[in-house]
Amino acid sequence: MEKRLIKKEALAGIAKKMAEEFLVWAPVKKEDNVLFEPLQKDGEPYLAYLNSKNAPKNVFFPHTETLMKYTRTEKGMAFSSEENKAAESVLFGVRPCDAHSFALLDMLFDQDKYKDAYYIAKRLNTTVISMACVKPPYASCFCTSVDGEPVSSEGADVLLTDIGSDYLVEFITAKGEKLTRYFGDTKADAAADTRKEEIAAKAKEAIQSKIPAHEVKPILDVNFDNPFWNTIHSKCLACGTCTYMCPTCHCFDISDEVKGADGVRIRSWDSCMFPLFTKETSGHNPRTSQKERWRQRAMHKFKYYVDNFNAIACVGCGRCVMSCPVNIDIRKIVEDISKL
Amino acid sequence: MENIETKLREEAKRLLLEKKVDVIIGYEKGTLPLTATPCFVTTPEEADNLVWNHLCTQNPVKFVHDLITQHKNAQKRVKPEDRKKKVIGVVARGCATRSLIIQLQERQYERADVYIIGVPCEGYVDGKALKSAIGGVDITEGSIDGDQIKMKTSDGDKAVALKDVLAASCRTCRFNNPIISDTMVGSPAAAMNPDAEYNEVKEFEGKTVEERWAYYSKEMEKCIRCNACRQACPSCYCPTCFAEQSQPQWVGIGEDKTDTQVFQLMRLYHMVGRCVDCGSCVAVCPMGVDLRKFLKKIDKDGWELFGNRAGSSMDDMPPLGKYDEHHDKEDFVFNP
Amino acid sequence: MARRKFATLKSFLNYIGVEGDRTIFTWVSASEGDRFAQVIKGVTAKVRALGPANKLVKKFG
Repeated sequence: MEKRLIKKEALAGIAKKMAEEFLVWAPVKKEDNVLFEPLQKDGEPYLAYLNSKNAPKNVFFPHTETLMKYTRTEKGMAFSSEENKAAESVLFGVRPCDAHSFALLDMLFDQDKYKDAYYIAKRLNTTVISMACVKPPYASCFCTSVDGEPVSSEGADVLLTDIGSDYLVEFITAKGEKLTRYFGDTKADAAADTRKEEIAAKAKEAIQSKIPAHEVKPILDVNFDNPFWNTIHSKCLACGTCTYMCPTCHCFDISDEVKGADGVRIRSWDSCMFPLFTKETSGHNPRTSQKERWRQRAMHKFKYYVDNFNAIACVGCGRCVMSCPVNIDIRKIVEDISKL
Repeated sequence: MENIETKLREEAKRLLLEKKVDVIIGYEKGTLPLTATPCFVTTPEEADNLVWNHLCTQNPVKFVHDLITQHKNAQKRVKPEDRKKKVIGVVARGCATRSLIIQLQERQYERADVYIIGVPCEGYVDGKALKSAIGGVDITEGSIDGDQIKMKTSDGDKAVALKDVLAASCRTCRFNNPIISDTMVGSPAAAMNPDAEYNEVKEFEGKTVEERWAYYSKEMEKCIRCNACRQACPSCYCPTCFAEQSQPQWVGIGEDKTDTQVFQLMRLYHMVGRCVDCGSCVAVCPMGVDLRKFLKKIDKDGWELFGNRAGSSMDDMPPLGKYDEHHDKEDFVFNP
Repeated sequence: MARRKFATLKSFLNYIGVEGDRTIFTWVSASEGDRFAQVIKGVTAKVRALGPANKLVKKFG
């Protein structure tokens, strides 16, 4: 594996240089929010962030995307696909928890049984550059409880680790190695590796918040009807904040928008927290209340995903914890489930 | 505040023991530093969880409507002779009582369905403003000490003056004491600064139409359509929101910027005579959309055009449900 | 009551940046053919002066 060292102050310049050649998604500060957005010509990446407001899943799985277009003609319907319109791009400076989420989303969107052409096209054309978490984390970070680490290359093509005066640049995959030309020519020595290991161990230690995420699966297996579910949702507003902020939530809705002879079929995010999510055409709703919706969210993350893909669908980024308007804390829910 | 909290717990216990209420909607300590969160107290023991402080943010009346509606629907499946009455207790400050008045005026339930535990209010902390005031760093511990908020953060110890981070709605609140109540806890709070309530709106009105549109577009571009604003709002109780109707579909469900603008415009406009400036929609918005800039205009128009302050009196009628032929201005009518 | 709705709608649309002259309200009786023509002339003149409406108009596709 190729490893290089770059000066810390060079990093923003590298992102901007890449942006001259292709689409670069980078953390950008907009008022009080740090968001992943395409880096504009005069834009400045904001690299001093702990984590972004929104999860960068929108790069591969946008909030709204056109699946196909159609037009009614005299000879019948004419269809045009949108699936391979992904431009070559770089996702610059994501946190390891978010990169971990891509590995989890791949299991779903790129599995043997079903291949999501829209997601895969973007995923293949995008190189993920992760930035390890070496600063003190948010108090609500719990990546180490859900198979993550603050310094981890999972889901990344390139990993950047701040080792003091320099960044250690590790090119993890062949896709990542195609970008070596941007990172100078200072080869990393063994001392840099040692330093990185020290920092990684310290960063791991700094994650204080822990949840028994691995213990709850067998408990969830047998507690679908436990009275526990009767109260966890009571203050839930039924908004979609947790699911829209979540890096691994991936439920979507498909709808058609038609004007005159033209139509587009769009896919947009949906949320299991919305009453409309499971409502059927007849008017019947199998998930009658927020109780069933909350049970679904907890089960999906910690049981169903484990059943299907042998992985927990949570990366411990803490976004839902911080953004929930009524402070429904997934950490506490998992903790409580473990005691059932 | 401590004193109010103790009295509140005692009062809650009494009401539950005497079976005056079936549940009390109040606030308890949150799991994150410097937060309080809505809670539902059903036993006298749980009453000890209740808190009342500057961190109690959300308007609890949203839950009053939810609980009563759920109860009514559940009762439909019960034989008439077996039907039970349910009384919802609610810890309510000024803005919350205004929301109750609106729901009562709109005939959502009977006055006897709710038991109002009135509390005086000196404003709540705007979490986003607090975060911004300390440079966005993570708060690990915090407490309110008199007029100071003291915090331990990832960037060392910090302190912020409480008055600097109170929510905008609270700073210029005109009704910080309950308008109606069944029992009062604590003595009335000192007035806030209502004279300044429309300053921001007036400043915005002074901008050009293009500047105003640019601001509206910029703010709405932040919106991710999570519906938190609508869900937190006690006046947004429609069983099916227009945004979710599909025949016809009034507004697209995606992130198209016009759809977002139209969704927000319609929700905002539905608040004529119904927004009490409780600030819940602003507080819950994960993206920090400046909804108040627009809602406060609706409030100002309600006052200036019809002399109505939403939910300020049980004797009022909803302003869009009546007209006054002697005083309503006609200058908006086009006469070529 | 429609008049109250229109008064507030016109004011609010103008406030968010949709030109006031695009929201026009008046009373016309079925017997006022001439007045109706005058109103429509007035409305079209105002809107023409503002040019095409782009705000709140969805660009399809």
